[in-house]
Amino acid sequence: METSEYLQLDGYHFAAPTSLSVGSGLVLSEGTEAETTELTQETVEPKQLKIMAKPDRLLTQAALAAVKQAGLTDSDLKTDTGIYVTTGYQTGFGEFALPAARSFTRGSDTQDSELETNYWADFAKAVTESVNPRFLFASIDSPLFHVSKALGIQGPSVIMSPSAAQWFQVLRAAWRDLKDGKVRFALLCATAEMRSTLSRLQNARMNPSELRTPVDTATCMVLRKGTAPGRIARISLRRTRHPHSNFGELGSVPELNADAGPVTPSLAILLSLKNSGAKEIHLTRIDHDGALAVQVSRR
Amino acid sequence: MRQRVAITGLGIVSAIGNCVNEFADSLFAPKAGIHPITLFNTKGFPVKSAAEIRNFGPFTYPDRKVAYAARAITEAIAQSFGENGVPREKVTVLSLGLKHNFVSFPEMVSANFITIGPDECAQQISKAAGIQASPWIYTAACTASTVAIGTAARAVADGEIDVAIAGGTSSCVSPEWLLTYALMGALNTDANCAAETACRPFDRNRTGMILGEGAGFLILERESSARARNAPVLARICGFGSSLDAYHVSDPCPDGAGALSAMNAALKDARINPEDLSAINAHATGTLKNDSAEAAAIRRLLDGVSHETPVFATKPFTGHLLAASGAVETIAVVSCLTQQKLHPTLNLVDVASDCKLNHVLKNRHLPLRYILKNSFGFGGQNACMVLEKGDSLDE
Repeated sequence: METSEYLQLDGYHFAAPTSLSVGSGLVLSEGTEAETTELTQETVEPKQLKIMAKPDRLLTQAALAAVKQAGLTDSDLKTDTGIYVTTGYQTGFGEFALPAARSFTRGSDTQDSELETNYWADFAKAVTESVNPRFLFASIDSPLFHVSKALGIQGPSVIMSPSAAQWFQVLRAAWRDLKDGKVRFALLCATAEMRSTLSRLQNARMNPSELRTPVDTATCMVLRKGTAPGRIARISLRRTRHPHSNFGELGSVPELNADAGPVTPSLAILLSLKNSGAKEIHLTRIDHDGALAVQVSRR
Repeated sequence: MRQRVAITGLGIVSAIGNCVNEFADSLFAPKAGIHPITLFNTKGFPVKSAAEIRNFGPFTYPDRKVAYAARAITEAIAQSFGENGVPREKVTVLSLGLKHNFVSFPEMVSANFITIGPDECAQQISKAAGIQASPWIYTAACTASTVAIGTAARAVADGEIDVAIAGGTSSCVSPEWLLTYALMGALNTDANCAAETACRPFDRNRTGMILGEGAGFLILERESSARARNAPVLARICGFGSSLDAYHVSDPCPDGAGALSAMNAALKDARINPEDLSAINAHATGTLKNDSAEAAAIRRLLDGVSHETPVFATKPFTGHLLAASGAVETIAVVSCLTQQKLHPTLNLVDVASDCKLNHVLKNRHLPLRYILKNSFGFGGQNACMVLEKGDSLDE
């Protein structure tokens, strides 16, 4: 397929003098790849480390590595850089809620108002006494906070979730801010904890036939306008199925045969770049919501 | 923004009205929507009040926020496009601000707390509202729907898409969310406080926020497109900006630096100056720290320009809809621009010393052109938008 310097989205074409990968970071938790800066008290404040959920840690590692590779300075980061994140399901409250739900399960057809009242009163008491408040901060948008805190970034931001399709919308948002001169650098980030109990249950419910191995991972690419190397030559998003239809065929990261959720596109890009030595890659994926097919092509 | 973006339709479900007319009537009545919680028994709970939806009818979908969104989207589309809906040839996006929500009471027990994820929620909303639109799903805490509207407006202005159905929906009046926010210390847990006066932004006696639920959606398109089909231009979105301050995981930067940065970014995008603002619709949660930081930011924005710019807040009417708050409050702003009057900040009796601003204490008639809408979220997320009055007032 011919290389072109533009992004194509649903039939719309627009110039994209935006380059990829002046720096990149990739963290695969317990996976086969790890090119990262370990999070330590030298790189992240101890108080911040304590409240980090796994996707927060993974992404912060990836972002630190990417920024280091790109050679960005503190002054570059402060207001000249934006953060654009796609994130998957977060465990957060769920790690408490799941066992709590089991212990509090009761018939849904109860008409006993006193039983109902006591049920919720007991629930409130259990939550109030048992929940570690740090879980409360492990919300779906917390990776954004941790990256901005760790790197001192005060620029614009976008955070979307939880599918690979949203990764491309985040890419578009980053590209738009670069194009309009709102930022000089964009951290294109993705992180997901796919092996948590909640994620597994969620995926089992949504995709019962899915057999791929879930992986916890995060990626970060530093984008800036108009420089090589590592240009994304062409991206096209096209609607292949009605968005109301049932879930479509899942894509995967070929090298891993793994499901990285919303990280999948960027993970595939970075792995392909690394493994092939190429600066551009070909990726085909049908997102799990069945709404979009995504193709990144190169000559 | 490169091209002017018109708001051609509005739809809302809120504690003060399940359609835009009813909502606006309540704003100017003024009539609050915060009452004792009826969705579940609050025995043992530290919070007894919320802004619940009333008189909505039976729920077809297991998650209330899907039903709220579908109703609001249907109203907005009908106002903009009539009964035939959005033409299929239009490239349409559903730009959605969502909280990563638990399935709401009472379904959460039978569902074992497994969440309906944002993507599944967007699918259900599309199906329920009968629309075909690519979902853009923003999960940026309490700024989510403001970001959803702002980024969609930019995409419309740039010609990437034809129509955006942009807004947010929330059903956070549930046991788990009440407890979550109570544990964070963000809610008003004063048992002696009457529900109607529980949300008191900028007041010396404010003690926390009150959760609300509902949905708000706007139809966005290029003004040239709206004019070509004689659609109503209710208002315009002419600027959007966001920032991060990463001061604290839940507290805003006390001097309002992050909020100020987002406000300035929105004004710059709109190509206007602070003195051009007719009013500011504050985020104003009623928490000690948010209101103090926001007031500081607004004073810094207006410093040397005008300390007379009116500031007003909508949450005492609707409660805090979290991810949907920006959308619902944007509709309040459009209502103010349309009627050329500001609704009051309810329950503001004794302005706190750290919240001194030109507060709107009762309905105020004045010429309104530009209003700044603020949204701020946990984790230092800040998003602001500039709205301009619509055509009907120009002609």
